[in-house]
Amino acid sequence: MPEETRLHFTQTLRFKLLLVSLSLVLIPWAGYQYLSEMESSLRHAQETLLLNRAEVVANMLATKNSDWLKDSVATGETPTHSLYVHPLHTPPTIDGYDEEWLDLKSQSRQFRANATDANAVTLDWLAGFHGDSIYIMVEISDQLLIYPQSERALSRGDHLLLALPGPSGKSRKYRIGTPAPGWVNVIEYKSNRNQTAISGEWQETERGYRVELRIPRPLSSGHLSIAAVDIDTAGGNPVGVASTSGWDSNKNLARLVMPTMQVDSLLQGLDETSHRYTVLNRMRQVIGRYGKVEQTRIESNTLLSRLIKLVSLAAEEKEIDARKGVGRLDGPEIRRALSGEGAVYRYKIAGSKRLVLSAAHPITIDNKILGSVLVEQSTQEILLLQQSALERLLLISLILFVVTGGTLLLFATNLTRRITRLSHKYNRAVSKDGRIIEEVQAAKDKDELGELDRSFSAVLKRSTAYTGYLESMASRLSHEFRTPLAMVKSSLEIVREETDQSAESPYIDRALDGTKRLNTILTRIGEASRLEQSLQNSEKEKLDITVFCSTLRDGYAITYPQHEFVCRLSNPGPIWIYLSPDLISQAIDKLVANAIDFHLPGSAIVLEVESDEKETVYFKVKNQGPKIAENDISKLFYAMESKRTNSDSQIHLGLGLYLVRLIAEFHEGSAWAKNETDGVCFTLALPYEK
Amino acid sequence: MAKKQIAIIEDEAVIRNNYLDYLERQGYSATGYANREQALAAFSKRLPDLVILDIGLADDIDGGFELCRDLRNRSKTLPIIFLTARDSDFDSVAGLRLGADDYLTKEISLPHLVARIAALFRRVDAMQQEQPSESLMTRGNLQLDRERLTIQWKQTPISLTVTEFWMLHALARHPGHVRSRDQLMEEAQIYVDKASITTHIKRIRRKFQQVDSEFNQIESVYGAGYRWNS
Repeated sequence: MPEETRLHFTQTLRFKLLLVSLSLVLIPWAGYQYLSEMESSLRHAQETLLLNRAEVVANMLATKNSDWLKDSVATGETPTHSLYVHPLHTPPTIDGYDEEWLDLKSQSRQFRANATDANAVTLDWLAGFHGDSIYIMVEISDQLLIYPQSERALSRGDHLLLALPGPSGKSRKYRIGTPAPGWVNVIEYKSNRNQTAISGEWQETERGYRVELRIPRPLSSGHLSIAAVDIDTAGGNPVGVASTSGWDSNKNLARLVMPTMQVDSLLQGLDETSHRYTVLNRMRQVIGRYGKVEQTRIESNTLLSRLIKLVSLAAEEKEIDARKGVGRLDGPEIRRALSGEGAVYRYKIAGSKRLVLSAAHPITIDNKILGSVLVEQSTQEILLLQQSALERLLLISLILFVVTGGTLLLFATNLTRRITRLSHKYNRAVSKDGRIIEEVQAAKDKDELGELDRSFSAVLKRSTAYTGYLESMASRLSHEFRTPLAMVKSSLEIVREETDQSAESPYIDRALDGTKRLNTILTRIGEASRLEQSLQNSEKEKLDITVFCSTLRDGYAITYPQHEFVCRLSNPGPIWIYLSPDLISQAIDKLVANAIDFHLPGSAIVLEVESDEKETVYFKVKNQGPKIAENDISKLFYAMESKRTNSDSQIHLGLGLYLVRLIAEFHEGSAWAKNETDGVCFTLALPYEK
Repeated sequence: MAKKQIAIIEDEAVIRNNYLDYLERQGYSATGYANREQALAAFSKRLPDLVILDIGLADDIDGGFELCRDLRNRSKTLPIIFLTARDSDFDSVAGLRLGADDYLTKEISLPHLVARIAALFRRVDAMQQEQPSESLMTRGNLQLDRERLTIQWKQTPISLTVTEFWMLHALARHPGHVRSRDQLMEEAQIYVDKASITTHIKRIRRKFQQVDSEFNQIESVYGAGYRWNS
């Protein structure tokens, strides 16, 4: 059998088909391309939609009375903070409870004393107006409530600070507090006078306390600041202050954004959950706001979504601080809107990954731009849509890849197995030296491999037929020669008989000698094919090869009395082995005859039996004498190879060692020759079971 | 005594004529036939005393075998010799199974052939005589009749071909002595390769074992030859 070459996995058909299946990666890639196109078109659609919405709202506002727009333009000031004041339909009762505020609670704004400390005091702002009064409800979270001893020393306990605009740019500050839950005292900072125009109620809550205040609108004139002062030890210093803005000067105070009832009810009519509407005046100051951009987002943290996040390109957008509580807005879309043109802008909320799409449209009354409407919406929906589509796409691709890859692998494995089987089949059918030893049955598969198998088998059959023809050639030749040879021989014999008495002729004897030798040649030629025949009906028997060796030695001593034979056994014990003694002795006969021909006169011919761990017995025939040329050694055992240089009278067809090999192979063994230091060693290796 | 009639069925004219000439010289009356039809036509009138057959007769590949079967059906005792160019074991076994007395290849020399013919005639003659032969050889349970070319093992006759008889005779003549294959060939006056001797010995052993399953008197002396152990 030819050398079995073990293929590296990367060289196999399986690996190649697996590589091919990698092209399936194109599917998710194409899908991704498609999705990003879809996303951009969706975004575009969203932009258009948003702009339309802004336009509709702007036109709606423009058709209403526009006085409120003109009023709302505060000139000269540019406050940075704004507090939104909701319009109220009915005035709330100042009782320190939040029943009336429940609807608005979700729109409350939280201010913290310390952004990092979770225990620090916080202030939740919620305000509304009705008529001439501003109603403020603040909820303060405070772990430890300290009440001052008396209303005269409010600063010694937890209290609120209220700053209202005062004369000459300085604010007017009040302390709001109480020794016990109930009505609050409002004490002005400097004069220590009780401000009775401002009233309020203080109630304790689970997390701290709540104060509900009523302030007359003229007092605030649109600006105020409120702060919660947290004191944790009676009479001690404040540990934290949560304020809506600075309170020292009028400029620092937060602007109260108080849309008119009209705007607010208009905006509220837009029942929206995902949009935020902001109405800006010409100074880009917020005069009305409704709705929310944020959406509670369910962060899916599966492996797949994380993978998608890695893959999906994060759009490079400018980050903008939240426009949520800011009193005055700026942005390219707002500026363009105020110059008379609707525009869309996309920004990213600082500190978060959310993208906000913002569309601005001018409010035009009598060809004058009085303000703009800003509609903002998160692009999160699109992203979510895209992400879920991507997830599905990736999942489908993965399944597709696994299924296709698996199928291809199975298919390749099947193909490989068939090819390997085919290769083994034909390797088995032909022996190392090219003899066809087995008939091959072609498979009936109806594909190319089956076709290949059939053509191989056909080729082999033709080759078998030709080999058979060649093989039978020798015996047919010898058979065909026999008849003419018999003619010559019988004729010569008759001639000799006739001339017997009279003249003794040497020529007839010589001619007869020639025919005899021709006969020997013919016999030898037939020997190989006769041996192959007899191999088929040879029976093996179990015998001790060490005893067999010494028997052989004795036999050769009788056959060749003039030569010396030595039997050497490397193992002391018997080695039982199944073999055909007739055939083995026939093989050894050939080796011994060879050894006698080449041995150094006077030296002994050695028969040796060795066994090794690999369950092989080596029967060696050694003789001292000339060595064999190394080049010839491998060819010795082939038919018609004779490396004899001396031209003795014997006929050497080179069949002897070929027969030895046939016999060895019949015993599933092998035969070889090797040069030794002072001679030659022929080995017959036979397998046996221990 | 009338001349013995020998029929030669051989498709090759030269060989046939050579054999005929030689046999005539040896004092036999020999007739040659080129094919089966001719031979059968002649034999329907009268059977010869001995028949020498070739297997392949021109286009009739196994014609000799067919003829042998016909002849054996007509006469149990007619000596039949195969003389052929075919030397495979298969052919010789087939020929002997059909009842031939000997199977020879064409290498045999004419004198050897004549010796065999003479031996066969001697056997036929001896069979016809009532009184026991004088040339008996006894080796333990083995009894050889060199006149009739017959043997008996434990009083049971075993039918051997002439070749087999002479091989056995060579072995049994000197019990305990190793006879090489060459010696056996010489004794049996056949020229085959040594492996064929092994086949012959095996066949002889088998014939004995059919009569006596414990027969093991013919010992293989590997590397030398065979030996008769009495």
